[in-house]
Amino acid sequence: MQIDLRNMPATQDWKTDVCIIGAGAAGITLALELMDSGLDVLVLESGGMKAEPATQALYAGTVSDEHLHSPPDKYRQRRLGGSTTIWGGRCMPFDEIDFESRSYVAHSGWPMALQELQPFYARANQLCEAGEYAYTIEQAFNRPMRPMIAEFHSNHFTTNTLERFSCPTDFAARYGHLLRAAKNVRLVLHANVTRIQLNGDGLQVESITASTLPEHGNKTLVVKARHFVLATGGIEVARMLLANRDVHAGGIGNHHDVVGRYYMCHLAGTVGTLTFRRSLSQVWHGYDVSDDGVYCRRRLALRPDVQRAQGIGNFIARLHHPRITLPEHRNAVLSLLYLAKPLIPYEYGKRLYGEEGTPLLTWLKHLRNVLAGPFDAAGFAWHMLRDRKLAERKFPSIIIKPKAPLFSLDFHAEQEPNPASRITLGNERDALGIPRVNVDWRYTSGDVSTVSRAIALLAGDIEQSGAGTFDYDPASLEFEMTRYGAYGGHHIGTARMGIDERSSVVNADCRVHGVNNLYISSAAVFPTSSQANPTLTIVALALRMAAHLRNKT
Amino acid sequence: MKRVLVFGGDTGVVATRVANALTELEWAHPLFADTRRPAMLNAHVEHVPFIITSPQAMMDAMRDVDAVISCVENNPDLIRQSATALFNAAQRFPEKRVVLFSSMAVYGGQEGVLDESAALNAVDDYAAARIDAESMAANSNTVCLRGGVEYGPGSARWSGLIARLLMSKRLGDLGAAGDGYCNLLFMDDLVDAMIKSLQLTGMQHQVFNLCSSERITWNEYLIRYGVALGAVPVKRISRRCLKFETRLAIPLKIAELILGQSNAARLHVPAAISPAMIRTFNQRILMNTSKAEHLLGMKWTPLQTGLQTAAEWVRDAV
Repeated sequence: MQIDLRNMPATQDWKTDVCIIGAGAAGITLALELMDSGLDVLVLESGGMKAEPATQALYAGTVSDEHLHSPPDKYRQRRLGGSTTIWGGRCMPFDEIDFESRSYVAHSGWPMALQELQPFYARANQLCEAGEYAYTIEQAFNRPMRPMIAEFHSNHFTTNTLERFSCPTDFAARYGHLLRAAKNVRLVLHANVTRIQLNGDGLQVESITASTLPEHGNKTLVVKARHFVLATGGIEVARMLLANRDVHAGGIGNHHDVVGRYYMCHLAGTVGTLTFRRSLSQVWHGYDVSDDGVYCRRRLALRPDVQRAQGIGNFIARLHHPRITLPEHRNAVLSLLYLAKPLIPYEYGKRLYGEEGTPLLTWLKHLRNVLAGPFDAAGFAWHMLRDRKLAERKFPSIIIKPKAPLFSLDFHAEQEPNPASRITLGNERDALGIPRVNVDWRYTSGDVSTVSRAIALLAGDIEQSGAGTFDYDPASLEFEMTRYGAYGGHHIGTARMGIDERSSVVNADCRVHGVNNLYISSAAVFPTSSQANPTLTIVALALRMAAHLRNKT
Repeated sequence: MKRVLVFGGDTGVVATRVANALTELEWAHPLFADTRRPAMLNAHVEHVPFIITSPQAMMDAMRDVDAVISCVENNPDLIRQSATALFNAAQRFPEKRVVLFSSMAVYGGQEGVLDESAALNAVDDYAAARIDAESMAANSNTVCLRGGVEYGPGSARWSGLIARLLMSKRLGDLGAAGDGYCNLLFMDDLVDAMIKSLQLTGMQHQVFNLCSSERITWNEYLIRYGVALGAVPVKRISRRCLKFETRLAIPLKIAELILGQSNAARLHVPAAISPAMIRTFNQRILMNTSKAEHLLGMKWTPLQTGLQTAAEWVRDAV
């Protein structure tokens, strides 16, 4: 059943077994898995069916260094489906090493091993519509596949792991009909949680209060439940815990000032010029489509033993199209994108072109490329229309085969947990009177080391294997990895999982330390960030929590 | 030796397979009732030429056998008329076991987990005919088998037609439109259930749900069957395409009827995806089959085996 709080009486008191706060990837997954469980489930969603500026504005806040982090209301969606309404769909599980306590990665280690999460990944993959749970080229394809780079042998990197792509699945559009039809699930829209009320000794959530926006009459719903699950994004989890201070002075679960700290995103960037000695046919940087119709892409993944030996974090890289600004790529499509610079919005243009100028000679060379390949440009436009704009399973990204064996390197790396990188409450309040957040994202010298050493190893491997050369400026790596700031949309670690409540917020069941009936289902609980995008693991952890709640009740 | 009368009318696919299977058993002597002898019928099956809707012919035939298996499949009129003839005769021979092939269609548009006691609900003439036939059987020594979605060799609709649609990329992963549960019943398991129904004693009028215990959605079926067929990569079908298909269904059906006289011409008409089929893909109904497992001792063919067998059958047919 779906209910809009705006259409309800001014005040309501409801009881339920499980109250889920937030209907994004985690909240919808939990509700789906609790269908037919015999439990009464209530899902409170702040937004409605579509993006609404007034609701989205509740996410606004401040950033300590605007160069390093996007505004808090970007890359997050406060609506049914949450940020799955805008995500890119890249899926991959965490690696075994990500769960380990590593002496060289400060504050690392999960209170669980990969094996505990493994049983839930296959179903998570299914919910994300990323096909079969097969993440190596050998598992995913039962036919011979062309190598990523012919005759490239590396002691440091593997080339057989995959990332698989969701449609990308908007969880609201995909699964909303099931929740609406479920007899034991009530989905309430426009219900903004304004208060989490603990009992007198602070050991139990007594009730939560949800409200519509003032412009909709501040209609109020008070919910009592056996279990509450905070299933919002990593920034909002911290905000909600910190903002409820009436029983615990520092906020819920924050006796030891851990909530909001250890905030991680990923380190990402595009660097260098990779020139292969072999012909282009010997290099494959595009997508393979699995039998079940899923786009898969290989990447260069830093081996776990090398991470240990080098004392650096997890790291992967992909072959990327050559830097657009270099006309030497001789590619009409890239040159067309270059010439279209004045027409492209600043945010996209910054990523495509950097902040470089446009010398006349360079401009002319690009024009020559376009004139030499008008059919390439038209073909690209048709491909993007058919395979991305109109397709329900969308071609995941721009892949351009260069005319010359010239690429750049797109990397995605683990950020180490850092207590100084944190979400705090600011002085301003939103329309519902809740303090807005301030984001102070920081990186460490260890993060720079992960990226610089991994890239140096890869450059050496490319050279030594005779495959080609990788030219980059080691001195500019720190600038490149922060050129666009923290990777957008991956908000991790602000209510981290652990055994010791002095250094964590939730236990291995994702229950807040010291509060018997409050759980968190979010990337906020990840103690470390891995190289992997977080959504698949968020969904897997939500599935694990659903199993826990079923057993517990 | 038990003499078993088997009939199916129309296509007679299930009836032929049951009759053929009975020839493998020492205790059974199958008699196949129809006006014509099907080409696929085993030489050891005795053919009894008669019209299955004729009360007198049915009475005469039943006098001469120990049990009857009715496998009438798709035609609502034939289901009703043959049941009328059959249960009219059965009243005269109450000790003789009748096995009546029925369908999950009797549950109509209901959702959730349903056992054999669930209410019956006719949403179309086919379901109404099934319900009518079951009600005629109510006071007899009849075992009603409510089959799920029959697939495997011989299944023209759920293996043959679906294969054609998968290979032409008109079906595939349906997204939200394919979230219904697919209560698959492998053809050999249906045959097995019919034979087991003959053997069990002391079973006055029983009803059994029949389908695999592997619960999968239509999306999973379509993707896995597509892979087994080699119709890869399995395509994601958009809501827009499915909507277009439903609009195309009536013109295609008309074309099929007009060209119906010529098999060669009919082969060139693309198969229709009916709105009813699309509704089925989205129906969240799960048949509880524990009764069949406990009382009939049903063991279901693993899904992957069934899909491979179905795919091989389709490849051989092509």
